[in-house]
Amino acid sequence: MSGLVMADRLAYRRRMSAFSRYFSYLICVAAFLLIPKGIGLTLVTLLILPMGTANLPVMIKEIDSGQAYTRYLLTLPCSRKEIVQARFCASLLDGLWDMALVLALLVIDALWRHTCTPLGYLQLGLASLMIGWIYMAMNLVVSFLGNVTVTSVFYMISILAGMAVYILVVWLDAPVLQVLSKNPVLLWGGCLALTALIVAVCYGISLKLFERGR
Amino acid sequence: MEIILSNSSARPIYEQIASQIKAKVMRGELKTGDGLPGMRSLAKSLHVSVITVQHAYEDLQKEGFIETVAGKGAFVAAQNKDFLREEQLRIAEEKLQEAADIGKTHGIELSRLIQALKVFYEED
Amino acid sequence: MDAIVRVEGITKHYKEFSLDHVSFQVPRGMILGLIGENGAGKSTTISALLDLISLDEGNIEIFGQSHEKTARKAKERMGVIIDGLDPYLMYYPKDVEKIMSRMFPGRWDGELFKRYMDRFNLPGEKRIKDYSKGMRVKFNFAAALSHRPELMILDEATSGLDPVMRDEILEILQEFLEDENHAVLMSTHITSDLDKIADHIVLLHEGRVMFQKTKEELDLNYGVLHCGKETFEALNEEDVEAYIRGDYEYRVLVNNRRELQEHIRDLAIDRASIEDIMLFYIKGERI
Repeated sequence: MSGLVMADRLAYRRRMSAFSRYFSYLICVAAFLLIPKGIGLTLVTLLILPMGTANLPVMIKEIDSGQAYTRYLLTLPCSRKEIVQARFCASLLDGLWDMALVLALLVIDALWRHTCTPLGYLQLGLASLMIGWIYMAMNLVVSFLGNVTVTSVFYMISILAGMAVYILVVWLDAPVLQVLSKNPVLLWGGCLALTALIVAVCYGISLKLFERGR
Repeated sequence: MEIILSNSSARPIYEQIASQIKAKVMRGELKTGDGLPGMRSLAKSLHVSVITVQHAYEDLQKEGFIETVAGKGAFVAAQNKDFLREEQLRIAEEKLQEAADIGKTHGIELSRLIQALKVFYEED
Repeated sequence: MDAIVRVEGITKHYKEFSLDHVSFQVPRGMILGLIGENGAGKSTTISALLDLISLDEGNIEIFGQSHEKTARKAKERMGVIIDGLDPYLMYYPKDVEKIMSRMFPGRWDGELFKRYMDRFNLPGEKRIKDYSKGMRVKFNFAAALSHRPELMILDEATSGLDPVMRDEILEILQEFLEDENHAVLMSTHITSDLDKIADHIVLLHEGRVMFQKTKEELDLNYGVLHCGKETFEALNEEDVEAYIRGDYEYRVLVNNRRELQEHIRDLAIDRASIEDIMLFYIKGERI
């Protein structure tokens, strides 16, 4: 499977030029630095960077539509299950870069701006992770569903939906953190469990969808 | 070693290969113990199927011209060349006897038969 | 026959097409050419061999083992090149090497890959998408051969190449076959390539196998006779494999060329090329 993971990651890396990647990170850092009142921080850590983890499967679907990449993988010594596993792993591994940047920004903010309590930063970090994984899992399952148009459209919709929720929460000044602080272990634990469940379900559905192609 | 095939000849390819190798053995160009090219390698050079070369080699083996050693390939078998030539000469003489009989029975002149024999030697 | 691939009665039903009890064998040390019109079932057969599709009926054995259970293991020993699958475009050669050495642990030979790259004059610092079509095909071969497969499966792998390049590819295949344990299954509609190197031919038509014969058999026995009505009607039924009635003549595919030529002295019976045979089988009529 490591070959498949390498194949997916390199495919993504080569298609997405280093320039656009660093550029998008630059935008994130700029947004973090320039947008005040903690909105820059939450925008980048809860919305932009988590959405980035969904990039890989969408990009690979594009590659598939031009070159039959995944179809070729099937001629190599691997099972359909391994291809799905590898795609999930590759997305996860690639998402680590985004997580690293989130971590870095949280640390910088903690040391520089002190926007939240240490617990608050921990919660931001966890939330970022979970949102990222949910985005990733949902886009992965859709990428196994069918054609490139469906995948791209869903990706767009998920981004817009995320942005809409974020704008709503900020605008309405919804007391999200307060709600979650009520019974932190239960609620946060519940969120983590829910995330794990969503990822597991998406994985299971992806396996079924990909087997069906036979 | 040169083997030159003709696609336009009526003779099957395997026969052309076999007879050219036979001729080389008879002429001493291929000596006892000399290795023959591997079948696949010869097939590749001649642009023919390996099965055609197999056919040729099988024939050569049947007639005692070559031996195959498992794992090593085909080699020219020890020939008693003079004996072989005598054999072939005997067969040719038999056929000439037939031709002479037919000629005598039907009043064909000897010179006509000799002329025909000349043509056969000179063609192909 | 020591067959590296055994296909037995494979059947697959689609809406508009069916593969119908297709059977053939690829012997070790041989190259088998799979021919047929577009849509005859060649690619479907190859998909079945690669376990890309499920089968309704039938059995495939590769390397002596039933394919269903061992497809994954079998693929370690198979090199696959399918036209239209351009999997490496975005990569650099070094990327492909990284990937393949992990996909084929213990089999990938980096030295061999480098030798192929040199031999084919492939630049190592460009992406594959910057290669010309011919270079891409050669790269596909370099990548496929460098994990030392025993069986090569090619689906129209030489289409789109000029004759010089096709000849180079054919030479590579013949080198591959110098190891008598190797075999090649090659599906193509460029039958002239098969005239040069095929050992066995399988003709597929409308999802069915019309024949599996050795090329030697076809060369020795089949012939094309151009003749008039009289000669045609004088022929024995068993001699005529198929015929095509043209505007000015009959064209006949005979199956015992040499014997027949003895009896028909005034007309030439030409050797039949694989293309001839295919056309006669598909478009010709039977007596």
